Amino acid sequence: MSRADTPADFDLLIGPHLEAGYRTALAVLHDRDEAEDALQEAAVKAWRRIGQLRQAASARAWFLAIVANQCRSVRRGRWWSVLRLPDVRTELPEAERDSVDVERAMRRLPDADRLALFLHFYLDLPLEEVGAVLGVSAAGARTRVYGAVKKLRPGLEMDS
Amino acid sequence: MKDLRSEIRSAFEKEQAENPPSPELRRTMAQAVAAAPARDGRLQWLAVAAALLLGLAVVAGLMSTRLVNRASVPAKPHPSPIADYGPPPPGVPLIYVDDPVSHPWLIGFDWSGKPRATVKFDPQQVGGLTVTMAPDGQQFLGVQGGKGGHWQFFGRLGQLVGSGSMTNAYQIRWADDGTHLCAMTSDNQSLYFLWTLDSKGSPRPVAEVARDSTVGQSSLDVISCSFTNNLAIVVRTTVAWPSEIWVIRLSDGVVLSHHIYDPSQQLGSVVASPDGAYVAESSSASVATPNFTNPHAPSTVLRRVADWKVVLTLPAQAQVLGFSGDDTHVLISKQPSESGGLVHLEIIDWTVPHGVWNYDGPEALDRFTARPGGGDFALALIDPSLRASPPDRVLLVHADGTTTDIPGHYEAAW
Repeated sequence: MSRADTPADFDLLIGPHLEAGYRTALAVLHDRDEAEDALQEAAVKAWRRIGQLRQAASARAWFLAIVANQCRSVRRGRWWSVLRLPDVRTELPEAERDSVDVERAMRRLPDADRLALFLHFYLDLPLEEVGAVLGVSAAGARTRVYGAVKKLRPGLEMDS
Repeated sequence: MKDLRSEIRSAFEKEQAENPPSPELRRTMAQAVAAAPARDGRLQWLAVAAALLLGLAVVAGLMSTRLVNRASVPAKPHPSPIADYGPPPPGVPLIYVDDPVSHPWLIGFDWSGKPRATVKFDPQQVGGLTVTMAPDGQQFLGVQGGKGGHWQFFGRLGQLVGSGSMTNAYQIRWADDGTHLCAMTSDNQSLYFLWTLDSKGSPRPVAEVARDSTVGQSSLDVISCSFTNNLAIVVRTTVAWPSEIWVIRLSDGVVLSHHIYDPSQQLGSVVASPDGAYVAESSSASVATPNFTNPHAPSTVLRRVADWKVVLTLPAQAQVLGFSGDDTHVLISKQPSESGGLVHLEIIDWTVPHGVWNYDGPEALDRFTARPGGGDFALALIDPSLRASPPDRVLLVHADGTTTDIPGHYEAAW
C-alpha cells in the first residue's frame, strides 16, 4: 500500500509522472495553458484521492487516468472548438508526403483513439497501462490501438 | 517509407515540440498541491481506523468462528443520491454500469431496463482495478492497472471471492457460463498459451497455440470461450489483419480445427458467438478508408464452426461486431465510418434473414454486450465530442427490434 501523507510524499509518488501528464493533456487539448490548468486540477484531485492508489507500480497509469478524465471535462466545458485545417502544401517528397498523410489522418481521429495512440506510441506505455488509463482491459486497449491504426492507413504495417 | 509507429511518434513529437513542459512544472504542481485544501488529518484517520478495529474486534468476538466463512461486508463509501436499489436478486441477468455518484458502486439494470441492484464494492478492494461484469452479471472481474496479469474476482454482492495472477498474461475473457474465463499468455519467445481459470482465480493450462517468429507483427486473441460447448476460438492478427484461426477443445487442448486465411482476400476482423458455434469473418473492406487498395475479401460471411460452412453472406462493407447470446442475431456496422465512429449500425436476425433494427448516428458505438441466451443487445452509445460525462447512453435493443432507453448517462461496466 502506497501512502502519501504530505505534499513531499505526493511529489515523490506523482512528481516523476507530471511531465507525462502534461504531455497527455497537451495531446488531448492542443493548448498549452489549458493543458497546464488541466494538469494542476488533476494533481489536486490525485492528491485528494491518494488513498485509492494501492500500488506505486501503477501510479503512472492511475495518475494519467485522472489527467485524461480532467481533459474530457475541459473539452466538455468548451463552448468553442478549433477547426484544424491541414496545411496547403504541394510537391512534397514521398517520405514527407507519407508523414503529412498520417498527421492529417491523426487529426481526424476521435479523441479516444488519439489518446490510445499517444499513450502507446509516444509515451510507450504497455497495453495493460493504456487500458488502465482508458478504463478498459488490456485487450480493449489493444483493440482500440489496432482500430486507430487501421483508421489511419490500412495499408501500412504496425510493429508493437 | 517509415514504419507507422515512427510516423505516429513523429507526428506527436512535432506537436509536443511546439509546447514543451515548463522547467518549473514539478515545483508549480507541488505548490498547487500544498495549497489545496487539506485532506482529512492523519490523526482523524487514526481515530477512525482505531474505532473500526475496535468495532471489528467486538463483532468478531461476538460472532466467533461463524465469521470465518462469511463473505466480507463491503464498506459503504457514501449513499448515492440517485438511489440504492438493494442487493442484486439471485439468478436474474443484469447489465451493470458505474454508479455516476458513488464510486466504485455499480448499478444493475435488468433486460427490461429497470434498475434492480446496487453493488457496493469496497473501495479498498477495487481501488485501481478495472471492474467488468460476467456476461450474466452474476460475478465481477477486477483487473489490476499496470503491468502483469493480476486479477480479483467478486461475487454477486460485490464481495471478494478470489484472486490470481499469471506471468505474461495479456488477455482474459469471460466464458459463456459466466463462471469460468479463458486467458492468453505470451513469453519472451512469443510462445502463445491458452489457459482457463475458475472464478476463484485458479489457472489450468489448456494448450500451446502457436510460436510466433515475427515478434511484434502479430498477436493472438481468444474471441470465444465456451464451457457450454467445451471449446475456445483463438485468432491471430498479423499487423492489423486476421491471418489464422484455431478451434481448441478446452478439456484436453486438442486443436479441433485450424484455418489459415488467404492474404489475397484480406479480412478486417473475426468475431465469434459466445458459445463458439459460429464465427463471422468480415472483409477488410468493412474497416477500410476510401484510399484502401489492399485486396479485400469479396464478402463478409458467417460460418458454422462445426462444419466450417458459410451460413450467411453479407456485403463486404458490412462488419459483424458480435452475436446475440442465442446466436440468432448479429450486430453489424453497415459501412466503414468516415470519421472513425461506428455510426451505421444494424441488427439482423440472420436465421430469416432480415434486419430488425437500424441506427445511423449521430452517436458512435462505444461497446456492447449480449443478453445471455437471448436475442437482445445492450449498446453503449457515445457522443463523439464527449460532451456527456459519464459518456455512455445505454440503449437496449430487443430481439424484435424494439428498444428501451435507460435514462441518463453512465460508464458501462462490460
